[in-house]
Amino acid sequence: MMAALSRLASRGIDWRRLRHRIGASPVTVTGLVMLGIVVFCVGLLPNLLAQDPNVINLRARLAAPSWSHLFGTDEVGRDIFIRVLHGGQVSIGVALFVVAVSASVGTVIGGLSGLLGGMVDTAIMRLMDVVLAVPSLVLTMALAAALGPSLTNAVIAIAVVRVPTYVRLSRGQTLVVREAGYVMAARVFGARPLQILRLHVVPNILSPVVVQATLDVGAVILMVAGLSFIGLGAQPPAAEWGAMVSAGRSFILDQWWYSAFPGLAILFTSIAFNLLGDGIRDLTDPRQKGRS
Amino acid sequence: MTASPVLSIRNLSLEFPLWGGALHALEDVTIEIAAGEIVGVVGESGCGKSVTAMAAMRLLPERAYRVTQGAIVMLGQDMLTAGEADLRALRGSGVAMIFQEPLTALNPTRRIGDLMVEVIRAHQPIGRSEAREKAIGLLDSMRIADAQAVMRRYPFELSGGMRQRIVIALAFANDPRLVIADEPTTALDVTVQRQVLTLLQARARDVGAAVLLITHDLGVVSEYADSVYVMYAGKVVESGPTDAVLTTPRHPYTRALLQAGPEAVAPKSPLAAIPGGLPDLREIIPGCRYAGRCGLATDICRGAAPPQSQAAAPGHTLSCWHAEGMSR
Amino acid sequence: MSIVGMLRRRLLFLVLVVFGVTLITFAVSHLIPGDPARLLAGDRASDELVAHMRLKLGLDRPLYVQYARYMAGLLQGDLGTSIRTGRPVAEDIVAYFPATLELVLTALTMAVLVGVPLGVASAVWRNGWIDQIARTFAAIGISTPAFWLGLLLLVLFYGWLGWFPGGGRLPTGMAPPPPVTGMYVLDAVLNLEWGTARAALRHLVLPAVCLGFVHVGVIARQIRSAMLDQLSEDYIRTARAAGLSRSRVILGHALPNAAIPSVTVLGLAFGDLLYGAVLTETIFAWPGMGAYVVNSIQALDFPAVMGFTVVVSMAYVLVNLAVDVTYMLLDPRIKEVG
Repeated sequence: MMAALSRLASRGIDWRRLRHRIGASPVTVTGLVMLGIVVFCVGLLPNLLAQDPNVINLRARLAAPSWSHLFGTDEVGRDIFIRVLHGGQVSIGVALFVVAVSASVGTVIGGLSGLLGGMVDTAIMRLMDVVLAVPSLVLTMALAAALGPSLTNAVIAIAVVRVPTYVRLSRGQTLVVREAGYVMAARVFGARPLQILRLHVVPNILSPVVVQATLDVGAVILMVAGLSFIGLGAQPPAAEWGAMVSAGRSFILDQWWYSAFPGLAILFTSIAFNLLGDGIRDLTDPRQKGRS
Repeated sequence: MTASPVLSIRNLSLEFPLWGGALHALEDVTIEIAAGEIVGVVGESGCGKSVTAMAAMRLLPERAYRVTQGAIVMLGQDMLTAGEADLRALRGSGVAMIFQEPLTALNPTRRIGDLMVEVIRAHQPIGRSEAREKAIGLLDSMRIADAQAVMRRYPFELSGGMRQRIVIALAFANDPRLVIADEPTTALDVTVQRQVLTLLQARARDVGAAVLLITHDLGVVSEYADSVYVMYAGKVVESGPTDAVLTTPRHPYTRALLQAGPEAVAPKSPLAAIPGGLPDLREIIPGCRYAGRCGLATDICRGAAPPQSQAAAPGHTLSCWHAEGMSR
Repeated sequence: MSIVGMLRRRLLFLVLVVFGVTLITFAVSHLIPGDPARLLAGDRASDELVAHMRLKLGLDRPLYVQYARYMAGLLQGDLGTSIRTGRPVAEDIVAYFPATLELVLTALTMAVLVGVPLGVASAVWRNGWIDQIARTFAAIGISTPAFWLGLLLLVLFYGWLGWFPGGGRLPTGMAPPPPVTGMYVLDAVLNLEWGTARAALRHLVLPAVCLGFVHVGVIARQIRSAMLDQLSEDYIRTARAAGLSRSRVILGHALPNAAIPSVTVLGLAFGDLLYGAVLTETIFAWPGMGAYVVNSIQALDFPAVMGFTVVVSMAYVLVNLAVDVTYMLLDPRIKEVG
């Protein structure tokens, strides 16, 4: 009985079944739909509307949301809706960049660490332990503060702090692959570590890294916004979501829309990525399979 | 057959819905257990014996299965329609269950005594200290030395055999009339197996409880069971008094099992001594389910399900087209 | 693994962490182009002033000397002197710490009180409507920018409804209770100053909700997954077969076992709460370490930022150590082996 069920579960990927399972998971579907909306609004809409986000209109200062200004205007009359769309390109672009950089750097370091072993491995992993032992957001803040306030520096700080997760992930996977016969053979025949990494380790580790990265995007968007909010990220004139919320702070009691809409955009995008990441994890986590 | 069986499973068919079909786990299973009787259910892994027991206790995950026909009546209670409150009252006090894995069957972070007291007090309106006395008595009856000390232990501090004795003690905590034991000794050493089963049998006889003993081991059946049901691929193929079935087996599958010997039927793998494997239960099988592996199979076996027939001994029934031919 | 052995290893690790954190931040802040002395003195300062500043801060020495000096001071509990306040950083932090602790503890308590029941319900009715709601809620929780939520709470409950005060720890003019713990609500209660306690509590509500909200989802998620693990265990089946009620099996057997691994998550949450406090305190003018560090960042007061980072990292490592010890004490399997 149980054997028959597990036989059933172990037959490779069945796309019809997969689609069925995604369909049966409202969470994943919601995440996908929300992400679609984000991509449309941030990726396409700014080009379609073709409006400059930095155009100043002092006659329409701090206007409440209306049909001409969907999200209202700020203290120099810039349209907040347009700025939110453009700000998304910064916020999301930066987040994707950070995740891509930390994931690839982390994967390479972790892979090499696992392949080389010995002292190098020990040293790298101790260093990662230290970074992981510190509250990551506080460390990011300290690094960003040390580097000086700018979006570039915030990006560097966040990327540095995100690396260890991927190092661990990739090292663990490498240790497994390393013992496989074909990798042993490659090593015996003198293949160089980087070659082994590229040919054997990377393909095996791609899917856990992608899951982790999807889950990370939402968190990184929040980190970027948070750093901008306390003045360590994007600087004021720039249309970036966190910086916009921060700029609207002084007007919050009377012109709530100023901070509210950029923040809502952060929330919406972050939820989209988190739901999607959650869904992907559920679909790929073998522990969950027997339970539905 | 006694007038009022403690457990009566009649013509039970059960399936697990799968995407785009169903796994037909049980088909037309009939099992009766009279008061005080020890009944063995034997078969390979995957034959549906555990599913039958779990279904009888209504312990299968509610939304994961579907009963397509038949009835389960336990101590006068219709198990298929019973509500949560009826089930709770019945489980533990009327019917108790012993599972295969003594290693994981006990809550790892609760002391043995606390768990036993809790189970006893869930069904009997008695105080904590009285329940403790009773628990110690139960452990004593399972020949557990120094029951006082064991009460204070955590499961991980005890050996597998000891844990399984505790599980049995727990099963008898509320004087059940039926104990369902699902491979109770499979995970234990051979020497410990006999001790535990003997204790189980003795305890059941003492209090007059019936036992449904699920096992893959015909040796265990021959030693402890009064009657036996042989299951194959979700069907009962032969049943009757243990002596009659094991000394004059009529079904080719029972014969193959006996010839293979008890060691051949490993708990987690299909029977290697008989060529071939279990049929795919996701498909509807028109004929005899054993036909694919049976040396005597003919066209009629593959075309239609064999009818039930009576053998010489009273109560000895089997489902096989070739029963007549074999008896000679 | 014995508790003593673990403690020894972890305390060694703590030293490593302090060493690592200071080294990383120190290196980063000094290797980048730019002159802190020039930054501090201002663009229009004379070269002499900048040189004097550099001398005063010890920036003329080689980097390793600066670092050695800092570490030597750290060993004696000296975190340097704040450029902004002119007082020792350690003193500043001690002064601001209780306010942050009060906020963090309140937020954590609220998050546990909401998150645990939500997680249990979510696991018990897996994939049911309550699970979908709880999971959506959790996703919203971890996706909410705390600073934005704080602003919204402020608009709604202070600006529009006027139910709660808009910032600070006490109304202006009200004297804080005599310090015992430094946490106003607790101190006021200890001194039987009920009026002060009520006022302090009212000031605490919005910041604590803002800070705790994120963690409701985190905790619910963790409990859900731990409960699912436990509910599929054999001992649950034993308990059910023994006729224990469903609620008894879930709350009395599965939940305690699920809570054990979940304790670790509380320790990890502590780190996020400290960072969350930075943002929350800024919004609610809550005079804690977070507000202190933000002001320090804006004033380029690097000793203060560094001091905060070191202290918070140490606190975080220690809290997690305490959590792991609790874990070992809670789980009999580990205790007995040790």
